[in-house]
Amino acid sequence: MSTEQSRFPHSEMVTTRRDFLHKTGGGFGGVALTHLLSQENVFAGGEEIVKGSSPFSVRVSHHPARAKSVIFLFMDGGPSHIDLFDPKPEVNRFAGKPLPPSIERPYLPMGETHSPVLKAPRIWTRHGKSGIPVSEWMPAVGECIDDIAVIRSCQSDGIIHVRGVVMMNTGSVEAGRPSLGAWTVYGLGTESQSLPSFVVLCDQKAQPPGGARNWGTGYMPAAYQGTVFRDGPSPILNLSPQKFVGTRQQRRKLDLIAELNRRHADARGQSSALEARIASYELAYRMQSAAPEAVDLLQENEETKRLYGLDKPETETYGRMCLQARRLVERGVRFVQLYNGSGSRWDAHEKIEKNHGTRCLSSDRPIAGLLQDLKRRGLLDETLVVWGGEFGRTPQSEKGDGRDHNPFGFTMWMAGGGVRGGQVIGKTDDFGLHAVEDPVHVHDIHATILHLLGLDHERLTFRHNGREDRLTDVYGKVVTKLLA
Amino acid sequence: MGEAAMRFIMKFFGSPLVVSVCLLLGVSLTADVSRKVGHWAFRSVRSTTPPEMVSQGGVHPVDAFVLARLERRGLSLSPEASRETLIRRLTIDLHGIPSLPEEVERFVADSRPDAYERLIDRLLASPRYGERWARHWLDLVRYSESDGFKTDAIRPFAWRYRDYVIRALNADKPYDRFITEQLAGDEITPVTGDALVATGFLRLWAWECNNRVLPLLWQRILNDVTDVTGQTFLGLTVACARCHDHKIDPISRKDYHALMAFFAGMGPHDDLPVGTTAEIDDYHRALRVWEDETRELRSEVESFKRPYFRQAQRDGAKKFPESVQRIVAKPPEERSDWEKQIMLIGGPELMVSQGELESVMPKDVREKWDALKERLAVFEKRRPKFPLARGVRDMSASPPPTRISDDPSAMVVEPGVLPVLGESAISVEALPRSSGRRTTLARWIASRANPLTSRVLVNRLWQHHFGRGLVATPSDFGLQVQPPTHPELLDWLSNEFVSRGWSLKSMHRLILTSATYRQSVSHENPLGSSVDPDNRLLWRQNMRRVEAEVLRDSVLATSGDLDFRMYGESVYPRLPEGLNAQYVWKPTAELAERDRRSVYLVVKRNMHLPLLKAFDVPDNHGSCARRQVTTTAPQALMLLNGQWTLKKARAFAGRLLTECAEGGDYGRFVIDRAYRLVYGRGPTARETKMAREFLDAQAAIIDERIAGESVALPPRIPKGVEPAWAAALVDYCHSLWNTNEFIYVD
Repeated sequence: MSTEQSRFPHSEMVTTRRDFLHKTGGGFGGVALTHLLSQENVFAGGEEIVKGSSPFSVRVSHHPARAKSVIFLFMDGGPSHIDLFDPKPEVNRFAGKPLPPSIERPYLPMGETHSPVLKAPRIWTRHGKSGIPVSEWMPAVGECIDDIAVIRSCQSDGIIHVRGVVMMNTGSVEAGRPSLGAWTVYGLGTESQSLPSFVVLCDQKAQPPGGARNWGTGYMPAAYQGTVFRDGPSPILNLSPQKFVGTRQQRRKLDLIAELNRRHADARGQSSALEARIASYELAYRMQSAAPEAVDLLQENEETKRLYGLDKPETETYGRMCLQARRLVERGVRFVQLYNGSGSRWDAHEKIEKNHGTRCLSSDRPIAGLLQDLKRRGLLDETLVVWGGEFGRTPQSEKGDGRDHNPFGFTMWMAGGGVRGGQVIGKTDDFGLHAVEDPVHVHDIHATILHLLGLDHERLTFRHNGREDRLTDVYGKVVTKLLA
Repeated sequence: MGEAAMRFIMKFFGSPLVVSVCLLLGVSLTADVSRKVGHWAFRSVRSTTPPEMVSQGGVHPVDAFVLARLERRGLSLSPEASRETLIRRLTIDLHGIPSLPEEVERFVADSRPDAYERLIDRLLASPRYGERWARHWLDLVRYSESDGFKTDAIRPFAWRYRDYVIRALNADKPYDRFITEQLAGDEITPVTGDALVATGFLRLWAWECNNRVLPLLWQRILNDVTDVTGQTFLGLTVACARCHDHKIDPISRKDYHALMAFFAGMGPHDDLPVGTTAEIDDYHRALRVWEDETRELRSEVESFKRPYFRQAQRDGAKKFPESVQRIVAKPPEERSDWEKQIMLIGGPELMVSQGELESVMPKDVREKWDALKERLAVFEKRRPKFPLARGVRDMSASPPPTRISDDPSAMVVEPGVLPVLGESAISVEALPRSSGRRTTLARWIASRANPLTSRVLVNRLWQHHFGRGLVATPSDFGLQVQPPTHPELLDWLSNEFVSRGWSLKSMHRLILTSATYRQSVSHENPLGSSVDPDNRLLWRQNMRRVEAEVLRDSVLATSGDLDFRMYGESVYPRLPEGLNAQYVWKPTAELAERDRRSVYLVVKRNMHLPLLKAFDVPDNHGSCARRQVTTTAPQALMLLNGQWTLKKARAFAGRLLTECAEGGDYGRFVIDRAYRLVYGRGPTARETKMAREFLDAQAAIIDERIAGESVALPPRIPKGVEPAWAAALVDYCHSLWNTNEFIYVD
């Protein structure tokens, strides 16, 4: 452990057993190392992190990890599963008619519960060896289907956007809880010496509903929060010095700060908090060059850029994000989230043909490029790629040519990172309204993602308001069919 | 609504009412009632006396308790910190900004035996005290001026509650009164605006304005109010008992709902008058006169618009579940209190806008309506105006029944206090138009007999003076946490608190005058480091990082920009670019106002000033009793490269240059002055040398750039000072704010 830690200047060397327990145990809320810890340390929960020692040191996982990092492709607004990955001939047969009485009709937010079924005029192609059907809106992703496990029976608790998105990200429809990415970094630490451990990119100016709480830390220390990378050469807020400050000038300021801090710390004996703060300036300095380098695509060749669709205006934005995501995980970033259509752009209450046509076009090639590129570089095995929105859409029409929100049965998919591709899990009813076989709740998705990362969702806890809280609350089971 | 529909709604709209399992490793599942009753925090506060000290005579009672434990382990207190350290520690603790160099000088030179006590008295008497300590309270009550959720709308006048807290602390309002006003200020007679504002405490929940399942929304609000009341005043996390009885939990589901029942009658109001009792009376008199004058016209308007209004409202309610539509369809006078609460909570979504109303009027009706409106407008102008606040009032003297959700017997739960805390017989006396329930609750909480109230509060004081409470979990005094490090001291302080008339200031004075508080942070005692490395026994003072607000206020205080104006509408500081456009605000027009103390900055749930956010301000969705202290690279980037700090560094450098006598030794003066302003001490010879070398070398680097490129300069540069050197001084000032000595308090 100490040799591994010494690679990370922002984490401290541990010298004694007691130090070891303190600096590594705290991050687990006293779970992973229970047998080594005294009761006092168990109860300390987050407190040891609070001392500022090293919230990011690489930590022991609960079991061998299949994935080292996650790329979550978030289709913000809710993509229509019955138009993409879950073909439903009955939908077209009943088009213009009400749903048959055998289908339970849930309350829908726009009140069109009893509206007639809307046709899904898709052409479906069976791809790959597995022959899993994918619609003509996702042709490039279809070609990767043998690496993909399609989960057709997803369920969520949030029926409106903000609740759905926050549910997908934090496991609760209410605000104030840590996000999946935050739990991941809390559980595993980071392998990057010079980049944030959890990075978020949005393809539009708007952010997803709920904003920063989707990558926030809720009651956990702010250190685990996602960092939003902005478009452009300086991806992080305040990354570069103000224009008034030259490079040498900045370096000398940092040297002065370091010297004053060193003298201050020396006069006060050992203090992990002071040392951590000195280290944070070193990390900040490294970030100034590392972050722009990580997102700089000039180093990528033309063939790669084409693979991600950077040569076409409609795919350029999301393609760039996908390519940047690959570069980030290559550099040890633990969790990357890429919003497509950020600000609920997938929310096709009307004119779904035009809406989804545009959204699919913007994301299909880039996503396929990401999967292909990861695979040929040998990175797909250790990178878990997750695709999905906060919910799917209804078979019933809305405003005649749109679809309403459907958290009762919808599709997500996963690839790489220990997932057995080329399979379909679960089933919805004949209209794609309710999951009827092997339902997979958001809690189960979370449990599975953590499992692939080597973390047990029942043991990854953080003490908050009198209880050991977890991402999955008291729910969640690992979807074992998904595992390779 | 059918049962299936209700289940569905529970599932998808109400979170599955956080089902929690409050189990901890190593805690036996079979803990029984006897253990609950024997729990230290639930026993009455014992009357303890400070141990007699054999080794030292005349010790401070706090020290006697601390020393007794230390001496058992062969330890003692560390030596007293230097005077310079003490005044910095005290001023940051009590005011949240650094002391002025002149104040430090005066204190260091003060040879009177009670110089230290005088300093404490001076600091406690200053209004800066309330501004500093209000923030601790606001964290607990999850104070925010916005709704949260997607819309996150601003709540007008929410800031009056913040001002109330500052005033109460500065006036040293007895804590029992402080509790009563916040829980039941509306039931106190004679009515005072202050007490009505205090009920803003019951309005601080996040609110999802477009949630249409109003019965569950209201239920969640009641849950939230119950939870925060438990945490804030009783130091109990009662929420665990919301859904289940747990074998190890001292609070049952029924207890939980009995607590909730105290709040069952309240309704949110945004039009509570603010002022003295006499002013409020005058206002009500004037209002009655106006109402009498306009009665006829108003009733004409009302009966004219009523059918159209009702129609518009029913149309608007169509997106709501049927249960809500039925309430909307009822004539207002037939609605029960609970239904009225639902209407209030539905707020804007159930309101009918002028446009909606008029859109349902036929053309001829519309013309008559316009004429009527014109007549009314004349009178509206004469309606008495008065400052208003947000708070609560009961709907009537008999609140709607409280039931445990999914309890098949549907038994009504009467208000009741926690039996585990001893005597639990209460009697609720209804008032003419209010249930009196919350007054009963307040009386039980703010009572000498309540074993938790005083313990929890003195522990909070201790926590903010030592970085850690005697009980490490300040809002959780339950069964599963570590017991107090000094149980006798905790009880002694609790008794003192009550017998000193619940005076916070008196307790500050008591704690701060102890040698325990005054000792240095030095780790030098090798025995201490090995026996008690975490300093649980207090053989030294703890070094603490300042909070986000203290950091910002200290930057402003040292740069000379801090605007000390108190109270009033919140200030919107300028936000950096690149934030979520939906929640970005327009900054306050007046520039000086943006430099007011952080406690006056707007508190929104979905947007925090990035500087404060980076340094761990809470998100205000739940009660926060103890802030996280994290250290991250983005913090460093924020202080180092942020536009705001650099701008303030220019002001700071300008201040130093201006304060130096013309033609004096600028180098010597500014270095000395900067040290005194930022660190509260003068520089050593070595430090002066380092600073001079930095300034000269930095000036040389800047000199090369100054011709062609822009350089950050102070606003005014006196004659005889090279611009490059002045720019180097900006860098120097900026660097000092980045150092640990500025951000940590010894």
